[in-house]
Amino acid sequence: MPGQPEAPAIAIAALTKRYGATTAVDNLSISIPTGAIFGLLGTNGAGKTTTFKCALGLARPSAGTVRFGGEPLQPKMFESMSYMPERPALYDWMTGAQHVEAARRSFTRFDRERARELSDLFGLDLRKGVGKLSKGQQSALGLVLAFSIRPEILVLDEPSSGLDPVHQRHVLDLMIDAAAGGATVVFSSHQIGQVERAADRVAVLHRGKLVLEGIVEDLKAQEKIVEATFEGDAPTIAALDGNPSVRHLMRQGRLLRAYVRGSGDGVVAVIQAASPTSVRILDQNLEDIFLVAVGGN
Amino acid sequence: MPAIFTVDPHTGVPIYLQLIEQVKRSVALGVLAPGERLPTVKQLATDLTINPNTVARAYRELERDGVIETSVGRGSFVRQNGAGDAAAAALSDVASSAVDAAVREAKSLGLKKSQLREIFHHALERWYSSDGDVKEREN
Amino acid sequence: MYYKELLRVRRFFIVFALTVTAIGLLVVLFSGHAKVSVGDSPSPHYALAAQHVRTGDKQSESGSTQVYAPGIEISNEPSEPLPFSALLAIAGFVAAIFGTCVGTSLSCENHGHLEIAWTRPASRIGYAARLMAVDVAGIIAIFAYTLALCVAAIYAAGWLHYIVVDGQAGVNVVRFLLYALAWFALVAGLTASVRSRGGTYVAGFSWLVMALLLVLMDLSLPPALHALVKGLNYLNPLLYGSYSSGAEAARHVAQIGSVEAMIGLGAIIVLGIVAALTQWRVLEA
Repeated sequence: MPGQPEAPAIAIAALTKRYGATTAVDNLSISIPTGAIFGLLGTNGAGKTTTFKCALGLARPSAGTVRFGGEPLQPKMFESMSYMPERPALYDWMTGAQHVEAARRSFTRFDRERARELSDLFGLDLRKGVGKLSKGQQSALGLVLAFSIRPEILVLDEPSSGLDPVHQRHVLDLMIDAAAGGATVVFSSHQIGQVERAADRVAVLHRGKLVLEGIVEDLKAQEKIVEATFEGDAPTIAALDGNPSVRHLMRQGRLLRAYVRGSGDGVVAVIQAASPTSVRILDQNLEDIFLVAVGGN
Repeated sequence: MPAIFTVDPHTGVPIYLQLIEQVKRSVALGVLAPGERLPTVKQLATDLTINPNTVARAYRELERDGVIETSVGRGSFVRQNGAGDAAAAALSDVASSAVDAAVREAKSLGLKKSQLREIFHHALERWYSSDGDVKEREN
Repeated sequence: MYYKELLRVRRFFIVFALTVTAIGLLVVLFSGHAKVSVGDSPSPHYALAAQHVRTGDKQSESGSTQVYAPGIEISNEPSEPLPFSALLAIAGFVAAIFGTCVGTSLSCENHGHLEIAWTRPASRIGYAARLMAVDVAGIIAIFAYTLALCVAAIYAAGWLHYIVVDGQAGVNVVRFLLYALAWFALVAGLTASVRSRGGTYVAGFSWLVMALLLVLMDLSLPPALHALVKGLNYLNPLLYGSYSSGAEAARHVAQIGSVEAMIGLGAIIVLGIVAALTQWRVLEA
């Protein structure tokens, strides 16, 4: 319908998942537009894998919904959606070639030529039994299968785990190539460097909760560090404590660091009033932003 | 087409801003001629291993700033007219913020104004030729 | 979407077919020294598997067609006519073991493969149905193969003329197939939620447990417990097959006619498969 905004590729709303007394995911809401590469960051146990499982119907949410293009999950959506789990869910007793054949018969969009191409790219011998492959090669096979479906939505859980740096770069290339072709990619990673390159949007989970979300470029532009040195010990500045744009304060001897959202000019002015010997504004890269988001809470 | 741009995804400077600056620099210096075709979004994203939307954003801003123009199906090109001026104007903005930041940094390091001026003149002598650019010489 | 199950069932089929063929070859080799007979007393000489079905009230001349323990005797006694149903029983028995083995198909998926199994363009139930369809096809295939091999072995041994196509043979084709499928459904229903390798153990012990369950019917238990045991035994495929602990137990089984047996087995099949599918609806990866 003209004028109406397109429904996001994936819309997670108030997703909650409890396992007994533990809340693995707590009231998570994320919107992933079509064509985005969305990075999900978080420490181990933050709830990334659980989020994927709830989204893909592998587990039932305790509350909340997940919608794909506005619709709830239907089996036929898997014609153009692939999932690569963190631990490869492959069959030890089958060969790589048999996995490819099984995928070819299950998915109408499967591209056998592409599977062959990608296997060569990762140096996979498809004739070998999966049980005889190394963990990295198993991950590579999982990637080959996921990308050969030519999906419109790719969900990748730690896609680089176990891969050597050359292959890790290939994974990035594949994700970027997919997104350039219009696909939506969601991936979780411990490697912030990867997310910085490939993702245009990022969400940070911590203990099941969403602590940060946004466009990577904007976050970098908006998150600054105001660093000030003082003659004596860095003082407590009351005006900073209650300031909503200050995410985190760090004092170390004569050094005061304020992690701020925004240009930092306001905070600079406040700090100037306390007569520092010097003040400067620093950029934050994604790793800085991430560490503040999970550590500062 | 070999990549004539490089970006560092790991700094705190947004990648699209880095790209914009590099394109403007290339145009101002004549490395990219008026009417020359830029790499496609997909090509550049793939070459640099960065997100395509980031590249697209850079291209949009460059178009808004009058440095390039994009036609659907044909690609992005350096503007025939005025691209150089727009680029130069933008670059002088870049230069002034760099100088501004340097002065602020120097002040925070405790330099006096006269010390900074010395340093500035040394730098000018080092990088600019003696004809024309520097009008005064302070003692 | 069932290709993987095709490969899995094929592996089982090859093993079973080879085993059956080997046994058949042995029978042919021994045919010069022994003769097959259906004897009076169930003495366990060389035990191959078969079940004899009480053919209504009709009894053969020597009154030897009885319900008793799995046992074809190979002996040197004069041969009797060999009802075709006996061959069907052998095929059914082999197919039942096969069904027990492949019945863990859903449980095998649970062991670390659900991420790949449940992210296909089919609902969980649809996918499970496809898997089970392949399993059932495998069961039917091994049934047919075993039957054909029995006939071939008998032919090669020169005993073909002993085979008599008894009146019940037609019904027994269905009955023994149902018997095999009942074991399959039982194992599937019991293991559909099992995640670890435990599914294989359940399958492995199922025959032992079901045999014990049948034995329990003979023991004198308090009435409530006996009622429970009796109720459970209706879901016991062995009740509809055969069981031996002597003539007494045989009477339990003897009272079940072909039609009742088929209904009982059919119930097990339906309940087992429904239980398996229901468990998969609820399961989480």
